[in-house]
Amino acid sequence: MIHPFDDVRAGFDVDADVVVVGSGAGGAVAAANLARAGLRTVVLEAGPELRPEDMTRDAPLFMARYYWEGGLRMLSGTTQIPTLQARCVGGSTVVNSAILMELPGWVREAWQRETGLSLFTGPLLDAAYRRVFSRSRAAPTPMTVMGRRNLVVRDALARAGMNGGPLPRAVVDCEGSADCFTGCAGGRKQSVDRTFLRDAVRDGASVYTCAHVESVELDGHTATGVVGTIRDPNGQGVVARFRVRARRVVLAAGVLHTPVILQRSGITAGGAVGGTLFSHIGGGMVGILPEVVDPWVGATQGWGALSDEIRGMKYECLWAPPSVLMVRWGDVGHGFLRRLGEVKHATVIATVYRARVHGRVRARRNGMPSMSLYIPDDEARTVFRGLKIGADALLDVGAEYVHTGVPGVVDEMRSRKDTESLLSPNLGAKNLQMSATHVFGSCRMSEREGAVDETGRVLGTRGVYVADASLFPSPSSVNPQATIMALSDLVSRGLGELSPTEPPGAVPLG
Amino acid sequence: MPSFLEANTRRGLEATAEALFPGNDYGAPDHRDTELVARTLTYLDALPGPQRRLIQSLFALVELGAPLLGLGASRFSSLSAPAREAGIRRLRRSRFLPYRLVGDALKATLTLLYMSHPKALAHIGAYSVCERPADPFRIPVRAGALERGAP
Repeated sequence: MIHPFDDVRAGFDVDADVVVVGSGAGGAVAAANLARAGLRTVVLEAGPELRPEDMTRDAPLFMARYYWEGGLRMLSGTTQIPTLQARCVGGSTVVNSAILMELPGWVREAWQRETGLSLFTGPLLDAAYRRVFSRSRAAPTPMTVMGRRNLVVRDALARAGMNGGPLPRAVVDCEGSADCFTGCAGGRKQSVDRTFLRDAVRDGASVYTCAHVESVELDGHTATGVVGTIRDPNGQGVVARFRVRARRVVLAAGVLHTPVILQRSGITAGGAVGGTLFSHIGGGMVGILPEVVDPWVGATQGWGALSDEIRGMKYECLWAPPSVLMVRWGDVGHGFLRRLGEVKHATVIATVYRARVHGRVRARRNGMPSMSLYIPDDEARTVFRGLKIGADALLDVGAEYVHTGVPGVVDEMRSRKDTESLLSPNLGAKNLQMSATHVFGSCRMSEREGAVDETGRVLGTRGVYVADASLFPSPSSVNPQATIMALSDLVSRGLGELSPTEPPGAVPLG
Repeated sequence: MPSFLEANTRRGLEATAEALFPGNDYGAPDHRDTELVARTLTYLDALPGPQRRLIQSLFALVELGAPLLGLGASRFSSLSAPAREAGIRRLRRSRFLPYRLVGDALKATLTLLYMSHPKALAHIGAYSVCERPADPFRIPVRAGALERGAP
C-alpha cells in the first residue's frame, strides 16, 4: 500500500528484505521486480502522492510544491543553470513528456569502451528495453494529437534535412493538452506510479511518502538499513524520524540525491561517488509564424529528430506552461508586453546535445546536493551551431523571426545574416540559455574509475546498490528515462534472482 | 511589523513589478491587473525556506543595492518606472555575468507569476483542449481544437 503523510507523520521503524530509496523511473522498476521476486519490499519517497486535483495548471504553485527546491534548483560552475526534478510518488516521470527512447548504437558502443562493460552492447539490455517499453505501453505519438506546433517543427526539421518522426512516448490516448509539465490529470501518461509502482504494491510492496532518507546504516561495510526524516509536504519541516532495517538497499533517489546519501553514509568509493556529473547541454528557439499556431494545443513533445550533421544533437518540439516557457522570452517592460499578441503564433524547438562536460555533486550540510557543471566553450559553440540550423529551418518554413534568448546574438533573427550571429567566436558557455533536465553519471557503473560494478553494487560495500541515472557512464544523447528503467530492471533482477532474459508480457499487469 | 528584509523585499518587489509590467496601450494586463505583488508573496510562502529567502534577498538587493548594480544613485524604488525598466534591461544585457544573472532572475521570477494569471493567459489567447474539473485554476476550454491542426 501507499502510506500518505498522515500515516507516517509520527515516524516509523520497520523491517524489510530490501528498501528502495526513490519511487521514480529507477525505483519503481526495481520495486516491481523485487516485490515480484517475493522479497518484503519497502519504497521510500521524499515527496507526496499526487492526486488529479493536485495537478494544477497554476505552474508556479505546482513547482513550489512538487519540484525539488521549489523548482529553483541550480547547477553552478561555468554558469547558473536551472535543473528540474520532481519530488513526488513517481518522481520526474509524473512531470516529463514520457519520451522513451533506446540509446543509439554508437552511444552503447561508447559506453562499452568507456567502462569496459559488455553489458551496454549485449542482449540483456535489449531484453530489458523490451520489457520496459511493453509495460509502459510506449508508442509513437499519434498524428491526430500533434497540433499545429508539432507539425510546423516537423516541416522545419524536414527542410533542414533531418529524418524526424513522432516521438515514442508512454502515453495512452493522449489528449494533446500539453499539460505534461504539471502532471497528466487526465491519467493518460503512463508514469511509473501508474505502472511499475502499481505492480509493486499489488505484489506486497509498501510505499512510504514524505520520507527523506539521510543515510545508509552499515555494519562495517554491510548494509543494515536506512534512516531519515519525515517532512511535512507543504512546509517541508521535519516532523519525525524513521528507520527501515534491511540487508539490501537500492538507491534510486536520482542523480543528485543518490550520491549525497552515500556521502553522508561515509561511502565514497575512492571519490567516485559524486566525483562526476554530466548533463546534456542545449538551448531553445521560438519561431513566430505569420499564421496562428495556438502552441498550447497538441502533444507536449510530439515530433523530434536526431541530427546527422552534429552527432549527439537532438531536436524536438516543446511546449510548457507559458509562465515557465516565457521566463527568458524577449525583452522586459513595454518591449515584452507589446509582443504578447505574438505568442499564439509561436512554435518552439528545443535542442539537447551530448557534450563533453564534467562536474560533481557534494552534500550540503542541510542534506541537499550542491552541484557544479563545467562546460567547455567549444562545446557551447556546437550548441549555437545547432541552434542556427534550427533557426534557419524555422525561417525556411516561413517564420517571421526566431528568438533564442542567447545574449550577444541578434534578438529577432529574420534572415540567415541574422542567424550568423549564433556563430560568433565571442560566444561561449556563459552565453548558454538552458535548463538541465537530463543529468547523469554521479555514481558511474564501470570497471574503471567507477563507483558501481556491473551488478549495480557500490564498490567497497555489501548490500548497497544504485538503480538510477547516476549509473550512466556519460550522457545518453537521448531522453534517459528508458535507459534508467532498463538498467534498474537488470540491477533488480540480479538482486531478486529473476531471469534477465524474460520476454515482455510474461509479467501480469498491476 | 515587517522585518528589515521583508520591508525591503516588498519595496523592491513593488518597484520591479511596476517596471516590468507597466500600464500600457497594448491591452496587456499590468502588474495591478494580475495582482502581481500579492501573488508573488503567496508564491514565496509556498517555497521551501532557502529558496524563499533567496528570492526575498534578490528583491532586497535590487532595492538597496541599486548603486552597486549601476541602476542609480539611490534606492531602486525611488527611480522612475522607465528608469527602472531600462536598468533591468541593462542588467540582462550586461557582459558581466553576475549582473546578467540578477537581471534574468528578476525577469524570470515575475514573468513566472505574471504569465500564470488568468488575465495574462486570456490576453495571449491561451486555452486548453480538455477540462480539468478538479483544478481550481480555470482556463478556457475548446474541445475539438486539435482537429484544426490535424495533418
